[in-house]
Amino acid sequence: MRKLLTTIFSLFLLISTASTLEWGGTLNNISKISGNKFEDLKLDQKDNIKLWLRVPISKDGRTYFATEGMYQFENIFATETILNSLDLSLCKFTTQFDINDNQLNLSAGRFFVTDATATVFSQASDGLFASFITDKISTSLYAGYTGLLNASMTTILHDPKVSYTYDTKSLYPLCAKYIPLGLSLTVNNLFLNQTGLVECWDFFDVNANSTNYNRFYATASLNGPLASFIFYNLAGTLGSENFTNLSLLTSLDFRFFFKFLNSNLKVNGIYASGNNGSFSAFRTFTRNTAYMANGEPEYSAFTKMGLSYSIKPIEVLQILAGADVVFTCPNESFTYNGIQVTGNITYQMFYDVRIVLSAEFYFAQKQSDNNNTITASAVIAF
Amino acid sequence: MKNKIIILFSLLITFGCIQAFTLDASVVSITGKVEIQKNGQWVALKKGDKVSQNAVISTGFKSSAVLSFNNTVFTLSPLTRITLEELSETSDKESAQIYLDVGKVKSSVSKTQNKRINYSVRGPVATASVRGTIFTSSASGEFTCEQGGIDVHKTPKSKVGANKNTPSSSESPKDGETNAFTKPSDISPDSPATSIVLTPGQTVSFSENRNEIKTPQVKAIETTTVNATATQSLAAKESIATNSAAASNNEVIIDSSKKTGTVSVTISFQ
Repeated sequence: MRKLLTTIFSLFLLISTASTLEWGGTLNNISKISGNKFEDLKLDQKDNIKLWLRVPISKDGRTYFATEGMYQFENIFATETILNSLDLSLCKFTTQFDINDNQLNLSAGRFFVTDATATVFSQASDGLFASFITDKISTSLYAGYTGLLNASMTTILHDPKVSYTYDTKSLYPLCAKYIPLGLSLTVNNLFLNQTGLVECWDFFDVNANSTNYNRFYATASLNGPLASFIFYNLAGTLGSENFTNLSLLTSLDFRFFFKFLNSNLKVNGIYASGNNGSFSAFRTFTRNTAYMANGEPEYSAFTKMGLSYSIKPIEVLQILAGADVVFTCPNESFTYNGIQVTGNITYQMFYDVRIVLSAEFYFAQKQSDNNNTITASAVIAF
Repeated sequence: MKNKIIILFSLLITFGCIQAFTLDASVVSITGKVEIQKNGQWVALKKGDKVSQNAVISTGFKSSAVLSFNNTVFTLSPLTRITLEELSETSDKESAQIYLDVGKVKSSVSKTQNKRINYSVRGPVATASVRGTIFTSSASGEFTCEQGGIDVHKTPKSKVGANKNTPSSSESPKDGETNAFTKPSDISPDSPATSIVLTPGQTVSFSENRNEIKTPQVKAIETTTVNATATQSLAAKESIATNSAAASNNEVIIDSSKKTGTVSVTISFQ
């Protein structure tokens, strides 16, 4: 152990003297009160500190090592539970090569990865990312492993037939083991200044108690301008579990940008299949909340349509308000489920201090699905 | 003999019609310290001066210059250096090519009734060509269109630096208004198919390494969102998204571009 510490310290000294070290961190407080009824709101408070280090390895700064660690203290007042977590959210080596007028990027280690839908796979993972960028196309490849992540910081959807648990009292419980593989191709200016993308992701179950719950996703998307101030994103994803079924996720949004108070109107619609006709229930890999109802329902068997409007009256303040209507479709029929109303104020008080206040209310058809959440968060960077 | 004279005269007229004449730009106004490079020396530029092709012009702190070339007016911002690579005219076309080494230039290119205009601003990062336009370009790779339409593409490495461009295309921009679906080649016949077309109000920026592009959609989201760069964790800045348009839906703007520079300070004691 002493030898290991000495080696790490020597390496650190060697690197820090050979290059310019950058470091910093953030202090975060997130206080959330939520509950089914207004008179029964419960407080959940998280405090965390993140420390990061960036070591340029090449003189031009295109080859570097970056790492970030986090300690979090969480107090769930409703259950009088205290959770302590430790995480390594970033440990990444990156390098770039120019090949004529094209660029090859390589990254290895732990970093946050988001797929084209920003829904199916959106989490930290250990792995290797390579991308090759030309004027016309961008291709990328990702191969990873989730078994070394902190389970308390990662929410993966597992086979519903298998129970996955971890020790909540442990500082660093290991996550379930999957191998994510992704391949993406983006074509710039596919036609009439529109950008096209095709992408596929596979998630292989390599857990000891594996039921071979392997998932496959194929996405096609198109985005671009419709006018000077109007843009759209259209995406469709087909999902399958072991190629035994087929599910669908589609989304379409339009964004309108106005000079008036730097405002932005977004109209969006999304559909994630349930057991509808020939489709099965869609499931993502990373757990995401579909809408604000009590119990934070997963991204499956629902359709949501809504709009949001934001203004930025001054450079450091943004105010956003939005509303969505939600229908669920676990089976053949679509049933009205509720309306969600959201509001958000982001205030960059100083260059390194940010305060966010947000409120989310879900008015459901069934009273038990009602949900009210008010969150205040503050970040100080140093 | 008569026939020979007619043929010679016809050739002369034809040649005269297609020959490109180099022209001068004139200095409309000067603020502060603006200089032109002559025989390796920097000489102050004054209002009313004529500036010819291949001239290198530089503006100092809190200084600016307005130059005009026929129906084109370009304004140099403080701390800008340009090379007028081409200023020419034929019977049916005006051509102006500027190399923007550092700083920012605002261009106002007006249509003329009888002539088409080939106007481009090339920087170390990206190149913009126009069709009846007012636009701003910066050497760091950001372009904003105020009127008309511009076509922007990455400057090939072989064309980074003054006087490395090829002469203007013999073809001219097509007539017509620019909209979201206009082909880049309609604005600039030489443009690669991957060029980005900007319509009024849109901005695009290229990173210094020229391969990361913030599309007009991403730039529009940036203008309507509070910049959270300073308070973002490094893990968020170093995240990887396979689709920038989808990733920008998270409403957090992170500017992860690394800016480096060198400042040399010389202290001498007497």
